[in-house]
Amino acid sequence: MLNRWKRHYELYLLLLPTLLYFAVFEYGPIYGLQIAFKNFAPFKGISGSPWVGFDNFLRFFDSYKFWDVLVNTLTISVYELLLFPIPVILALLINQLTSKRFKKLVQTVTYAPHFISTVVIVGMLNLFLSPRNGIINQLLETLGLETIFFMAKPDWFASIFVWSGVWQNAGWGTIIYLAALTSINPELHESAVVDGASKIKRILYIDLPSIMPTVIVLLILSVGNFMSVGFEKVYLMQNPLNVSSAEVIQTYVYKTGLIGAQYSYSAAIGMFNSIVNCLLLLMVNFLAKRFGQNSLW
Amino acid sequence: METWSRSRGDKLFDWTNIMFFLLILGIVIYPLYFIIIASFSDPDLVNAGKVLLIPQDISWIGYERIFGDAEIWNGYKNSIMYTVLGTIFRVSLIITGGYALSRKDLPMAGTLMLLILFTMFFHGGLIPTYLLVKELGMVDTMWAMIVPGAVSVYQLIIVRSFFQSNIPQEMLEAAMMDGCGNFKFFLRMVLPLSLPIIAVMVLFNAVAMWNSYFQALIYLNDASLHPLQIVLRKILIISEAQLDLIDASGDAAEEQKVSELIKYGMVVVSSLPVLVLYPFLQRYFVKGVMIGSVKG
Amino acid sequence: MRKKWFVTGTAMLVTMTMLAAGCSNGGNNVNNGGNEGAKPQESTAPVEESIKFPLEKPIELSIFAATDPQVKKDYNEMQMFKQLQEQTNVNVKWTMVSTEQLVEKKNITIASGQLPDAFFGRGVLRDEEVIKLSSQGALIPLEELIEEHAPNLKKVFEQRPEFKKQITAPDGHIYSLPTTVERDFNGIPSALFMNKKWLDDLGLAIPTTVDEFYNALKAFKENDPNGNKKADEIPFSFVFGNNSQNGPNALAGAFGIPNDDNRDHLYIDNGTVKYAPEQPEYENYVQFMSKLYKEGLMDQEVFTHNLNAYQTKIRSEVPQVGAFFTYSLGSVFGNVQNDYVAVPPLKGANGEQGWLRMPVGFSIGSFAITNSNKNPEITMKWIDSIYEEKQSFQFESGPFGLTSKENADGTIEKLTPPEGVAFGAFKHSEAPGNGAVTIVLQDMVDRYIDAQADEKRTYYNMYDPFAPKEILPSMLMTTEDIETLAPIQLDLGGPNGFYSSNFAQFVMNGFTHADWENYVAQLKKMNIDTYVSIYQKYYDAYKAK
Repeated sequence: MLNRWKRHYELYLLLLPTLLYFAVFEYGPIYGLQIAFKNFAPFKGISGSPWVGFDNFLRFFDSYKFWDVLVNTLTISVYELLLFPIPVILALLINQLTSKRFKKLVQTVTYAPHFISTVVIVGMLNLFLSPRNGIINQLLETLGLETIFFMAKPDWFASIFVWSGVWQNAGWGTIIYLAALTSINPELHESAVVDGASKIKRILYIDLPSIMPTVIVLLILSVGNFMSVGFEKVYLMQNPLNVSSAEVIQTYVYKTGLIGAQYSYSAAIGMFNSIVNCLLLLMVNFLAKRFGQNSLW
Repeated sequence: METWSRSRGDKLFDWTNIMFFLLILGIVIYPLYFIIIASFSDPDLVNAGKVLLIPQDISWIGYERIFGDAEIWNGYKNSIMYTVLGTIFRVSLIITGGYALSRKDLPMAGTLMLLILFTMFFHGGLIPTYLLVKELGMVDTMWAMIVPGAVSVYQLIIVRSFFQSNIPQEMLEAAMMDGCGNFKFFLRMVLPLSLPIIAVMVLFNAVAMWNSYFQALIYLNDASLHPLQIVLRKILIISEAQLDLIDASGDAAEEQKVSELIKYGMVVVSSLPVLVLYPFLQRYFVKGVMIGSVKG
Repeated sequence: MRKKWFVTGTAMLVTMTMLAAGCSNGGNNVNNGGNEGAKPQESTAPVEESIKFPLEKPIELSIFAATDPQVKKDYNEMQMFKQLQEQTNVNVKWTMVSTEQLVEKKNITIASGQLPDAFFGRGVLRDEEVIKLSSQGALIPLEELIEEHAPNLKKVFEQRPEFKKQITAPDGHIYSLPTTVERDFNGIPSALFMNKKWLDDLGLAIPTTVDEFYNALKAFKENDPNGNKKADEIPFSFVFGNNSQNGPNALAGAFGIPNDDNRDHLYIDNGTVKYAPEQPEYENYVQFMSKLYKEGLMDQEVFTHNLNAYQTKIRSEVPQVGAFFTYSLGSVFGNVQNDYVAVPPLKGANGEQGWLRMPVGFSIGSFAITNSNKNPEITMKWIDSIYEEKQSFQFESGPFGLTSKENADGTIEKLTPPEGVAFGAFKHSEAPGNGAVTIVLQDMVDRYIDAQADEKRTYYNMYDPFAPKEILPSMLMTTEDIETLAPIQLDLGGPNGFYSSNFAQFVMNGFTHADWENYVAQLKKMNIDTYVSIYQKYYDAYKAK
């Protein structure tokens, strides 16, 4: 035992700052979780507020919008998850670009949208999709197609939301895969070329398997992030016409909170979200393990 | 014959690939270009869909307002300081912690990982965290920007799995045989092999620090400590503020136009410095190729 | 060497964990301490009749202030507060929080249990916060303090007894002091404008009835009044939603709905509170709007565009919009445009006429004294000195001699800011401005020379006779009633709530009478009757006071 400890104390030292951080800044305030089961009154403090059991949760499940809000959240989440492979594909293709300059250009340009604030993104969506003078509808018109009032149609909401997200973040999402691609042994490619493998074959049989562990880990993590729809953007994109598909858990919580700073209620909904996400993550991780893939633990 | 057709297939692939990315570039660049021209064109024309390619009725008042604000340079200074220090702090924690947790031979690694994972989903919330930061004396100091929220579980896991799949077990065993301690191994072997992931983490954290807003909002009352993002939002809000009690807000119409300009200008002003960072990091993405030769 | 590292590390871990544990307790202790300190009124010595300003011995107050984002320096460095300090010898340690950060910072301050001596600033506490904090003993009752130490405020209450009624909580106490600037003309937020040139060119008179209005819009659509040979005219536009100045709500008057205030949609009919969107008359109003939409007479983006995009359309170089709602021409164009004319209230099919009236901004929770304040009497006398008529005016608009000057005839003239300084920044350079605690009555407002206000006054005078005489005042409610109302209000009237989305659907897609009945039934299910009856209860109580 002592021997083992001796062997590893250096590792623990490396780990110590991180552990300290989690002990102090994450577990220090963790007593705040109880707020979801209380009726938090700011002046009484967390421990002084009365317990209400599961009232806050039940109130959410009973609210007349619960099912609509849940369905909308799930729709957007599944949609986003389906588009998960896009950055992977982009990264594999960027990796194949032969001109270094062009490669650099592509990377820098596709990262840039990541830095645009949500307000501006939504402003542009409204502008570009406007039925009167939006650039998209002008294009549709010149092509002889019928114009579409995108922002007024509930059916379009999820697509606009998700694809504008792809536009904004897919480039940024490639970074991690590109980094993983750099660690592939060049000899593998060299010998494949000698064996006469085409580029497509090399992507499929060398590049993809090499970054698969990273892909799987990110996939598991994004499942763990499943129901966290970006609140600010949805909120800004809402209007009375599309609201039937545009009310998600996050916006609903926000609106509820607006009225009375209802900490406990929003904490309960947040906890509900986390529990669902946590279960999903455990499930996916289990599956990944089962199929012999890289898993989180 | 076969070689010929293969290289022709590859060429076709290369060309298609280039065409594909030209298309992507077009789709991505246009809105970026639009933001830039919209930041100095007449907002009425922008909103009317008349500014599509060429800037019109050029007005620099948005930028004048942004850079005319006394607090803006101080905001830049603070943001740079927080970003540099915060990134160093965060990346050090993530890399050292991530490495230690990646070692399968570390006793309790699994339990610790689960405990850490728990915090990815469950937090104490705003008020207990604030009280903690306050008790530690960090409120109204730069530490409040750097320390709380320093380690993202998400990144820790990515880094950990990078180490797991890229630092071969045999290498560790060989080094241990030679009497190399864990510290030495980490510094001499692991770090040089992890430049790509370090570069990625630097990029992620630097960007997150640069854009962070909420922490400053909660922990910093002293305006001289405010980072750029807070200053910018304040400038925007001032231009949007129309509620005047005594006056019937005479310049409301003008101010509204300015607020549109500021909105676009803010994107330019706040994102350029971070975009500049990228090319410096880019070479580390290529350096990782070294791994192969070391392995071999 | 390595051993030392380890020892220090462990020691750190232990200390840090202890700290973490310790501080959570610490927070709670503070809270308890706060609670015990309640009821300071009894604990202080019997009121000394004479608090003389300036005080012989200075005292210090810590005050939490909600400030306007345009404020750039500490209140203590502002001329208005320096003067106040000299007059009173009360020193203040300010915690200044810009309004855009108010919600978070205020909640944290309250939750961390370290209450300031007072809260200061227009709207620093929301109505329900006044009630909640006072019910927990955190705010002290003020009515006796007002009686003894607030001559200026008492004078205001004599002139405006309704102010006192509005700030009195359901338990009969007063826990907070108000801020208001009586710009009576803002009680009618919106005016309807039409393009006079287009009307003249098409040989049409200014519409007086709903039908004439409809015909004019039709003519706008069909006859290319802007003469650019393109059918780009938008006959009629507005911004739907929580924007009373640019919304169409005033039109409901022509259909027999006396008032359609889009914050709560409640109006008073002979002492009875009614919810406008469930009245049969409202159906006709929505039907009319739907007809305009279907026939392309209304901007199809009324539900989706924002204020900026809307005003851009109105300002378009080649005029495009024929009729629109807004606060004043000056607020859209920057000056009065003679091409446009304000349209008097339209008459409905049965001669009904009405216009939207809303209460003039009155913020109940603008100043409050907490239970940790050791000098409530002095604090009251201190704040009362700001309520003096001219003080109030200057705290709001800046000191005389800087932003404005008093003429011999009693009028007040605006002074121009130095080159390159925006008026907003100028106004907030030496006074708290929009963040002030202040009561400026109409008499004082009228003495201020302001061309923009004069334009608005003409519209006010035109619509005033048609707007309802009686509207719901802002009132404080009990916590229970607030909690009953909150979820109903959210589902019904919240942003893009049930009312908005149904209104929008009905207008865009049309509807039948059966649809309408279905909608009304749904309203009942959402407890609209409870909603109305709670307001009725408070309205009755208010009348009885």
